Amino acid sequence: MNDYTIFIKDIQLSFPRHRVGLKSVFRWFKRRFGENVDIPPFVALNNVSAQAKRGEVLGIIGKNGSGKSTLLRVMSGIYQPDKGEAMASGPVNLLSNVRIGFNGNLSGRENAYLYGSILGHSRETMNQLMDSIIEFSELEAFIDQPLRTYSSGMQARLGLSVASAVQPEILLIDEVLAVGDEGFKDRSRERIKSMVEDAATVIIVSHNLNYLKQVCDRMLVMENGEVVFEGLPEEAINEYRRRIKR
Amino acid sequence: MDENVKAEPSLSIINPTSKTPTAVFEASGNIWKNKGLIRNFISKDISQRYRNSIIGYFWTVLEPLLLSAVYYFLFTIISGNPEERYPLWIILGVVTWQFFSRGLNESVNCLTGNKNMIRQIYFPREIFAVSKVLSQLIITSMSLLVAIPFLIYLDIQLTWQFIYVPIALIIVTLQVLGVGWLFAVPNVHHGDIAHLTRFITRAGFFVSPVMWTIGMAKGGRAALLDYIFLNPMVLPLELMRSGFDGTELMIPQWAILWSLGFSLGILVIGLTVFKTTEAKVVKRL
Repeated sequence: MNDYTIFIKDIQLSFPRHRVGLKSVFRWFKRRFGENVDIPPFVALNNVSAQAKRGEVLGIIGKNGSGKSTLLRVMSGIYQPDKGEAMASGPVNLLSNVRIGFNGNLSGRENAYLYGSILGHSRETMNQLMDSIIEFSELEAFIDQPLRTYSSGMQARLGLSVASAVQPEILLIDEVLAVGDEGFKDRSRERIKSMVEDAATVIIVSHNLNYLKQVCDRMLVMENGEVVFEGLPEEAINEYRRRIKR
Repeated sequence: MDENVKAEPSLSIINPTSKTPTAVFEASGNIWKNKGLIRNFISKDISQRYRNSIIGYFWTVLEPLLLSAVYYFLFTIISGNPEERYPLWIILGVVTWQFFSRGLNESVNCLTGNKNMIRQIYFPREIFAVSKVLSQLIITSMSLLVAIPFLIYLDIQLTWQFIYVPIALIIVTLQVLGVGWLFAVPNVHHGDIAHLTRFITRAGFFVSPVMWTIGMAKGGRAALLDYIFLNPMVLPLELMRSGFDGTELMIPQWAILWSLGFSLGILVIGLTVFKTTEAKVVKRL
C-alpha cells in the first residue's frame, strides 16, 4: 500500500539565463534562419523524483548548489516545475529562513503575530500559542521592545519559536537548526525531533550528517540537480562522503 | 526509484497555476481565505509608517494640506482670484490623486518589492498588492478628515450625494489593483515599467482634474475636453468633489460608463494576466 504524502516524479526545473526584451525578438528572427542563438537555461533540477510516505522522515544531502533547497521550494509550491508531477496530500510547511517578514520597527510580539499569519495561523490560534512561544524563545523581557533592538540570534530564536509552535502535517526543514546559542540549539533540536515524531511526513535538508543519521528513515544524495543515490542513511552518507572526496 | 509508483487520487498538484477562465475566481477565493493575513499586513504597514515621527498620524492630514497650500498659491499667481470653494476642491483632488499614485506604485512593485518573502514561503501572491492598496485606502480615508474644517468654513452641508465618495474610492481601488497586477509581472523583467509608471503618475497629475475641475475647464476648447473624459481617473476625482459639496456631476453619461467599464475590465484583465503568469516569473526574481 502506498500512501504518499509528497509525490515528486520526473520533474525538471530550469532558470532562464537571458532576459525577455527587444533582443528576444531578434533571437526569434535569427532562430527562424536556423541560427543557434539560445543561451541554454540553468537546469537546477533534472529528472528528479522523490516520494515520501506518511510517518516517514526523508533526509536530503548534497554539496552547495546541488539543488536541495530548490527541490524543497518546489515541494512547498514556491516554484512550479517545468516538467513532471509535483503533488502533495495536503498543505506543506517549509521552514527555511525563520525571519520572514520581520520588521525592525515592530515589537517582537507584533512580529510573532505577523510571522504566524504568514505561516497561515489564525489570530485565535496565535493568541493561544503566544505564551508558549514567548516561553520557548526565552525573550519575556524583550518581547514588547522593537525588533531592531534584538541581536540576530534573538531574532532567529523568536522566528524558530513561532515556526515550530504548530505541528504541521507535512514539514520541510531547510537548515534552520543552527540558530541561537548552544542551550537554544539543544532545545530547538529537541523540539524538531518531537515534531518529526508527530508529523505525518518530514523532509530535512541539512549538512549535519550525525543528526540526519539519527532521525532519517531514508536519504537522498543530490548532485548537480539530480538525485544520484537513494537509500538507508548509513549508505547515503557513505556515498556522499565518497563523492566529496572525489 | 521504483518506476511503477503512481500518483494516488488523494494527492493533488501543489499550487497549480491558474487557468485563464477561472483565475479571477481563484484569486478572489484566496483573498477571502487569507483575510487575516491581509489584516496583519495592513496593520503592520500603517503602524510602522509614522512610528518614528513626532506628530505621527497627523502627517496623513498635514501632508495633503501643505501640498494643497502650495498648489493654491501657484494657482492664485497664475489666474488671479479663484472661486471660494477652490481650496476644498484642490485638497480633495490632491488626496485622491495621492491614493492613485501611491497605490499604483505599491501594486506595480508587489512582486519585485517582496522578493525575499516570495522566495522563502508560499502564499497567494495577489495578497501583497491587495494589502498594500487597502492600507493606502485607509490612509486616504484618514486624510479626507482634512476636508472637515473647509466644510465648516464654507458652510457646506453634506447631502445624500456623499455616497459618491466611497464610490470614487472603490473605483480608484479597482483601477490601481488592475493596472498594478497587469504591470507587476513585466516589472520583474524590465526596469522600463517602473519608468512608465512614474510617467503615468506624473503626467496624469496634469491631465486629470487635480489642480483644476471640469467646471473650470468648460471655458476652454470643448473639443479637447472630450479627450479629457477618456482619462478614467476623471470620474473618481469629480465624484469626490460632488460628493462633498453636493454640486451636480458635470460628466457626460458615456464618460461615466467608460470609466466604470475600464475599472472593472482592467481589474479582470490584470488579475487574469497576473495569476496565469506569476508562477513563471518567480524564477526570475
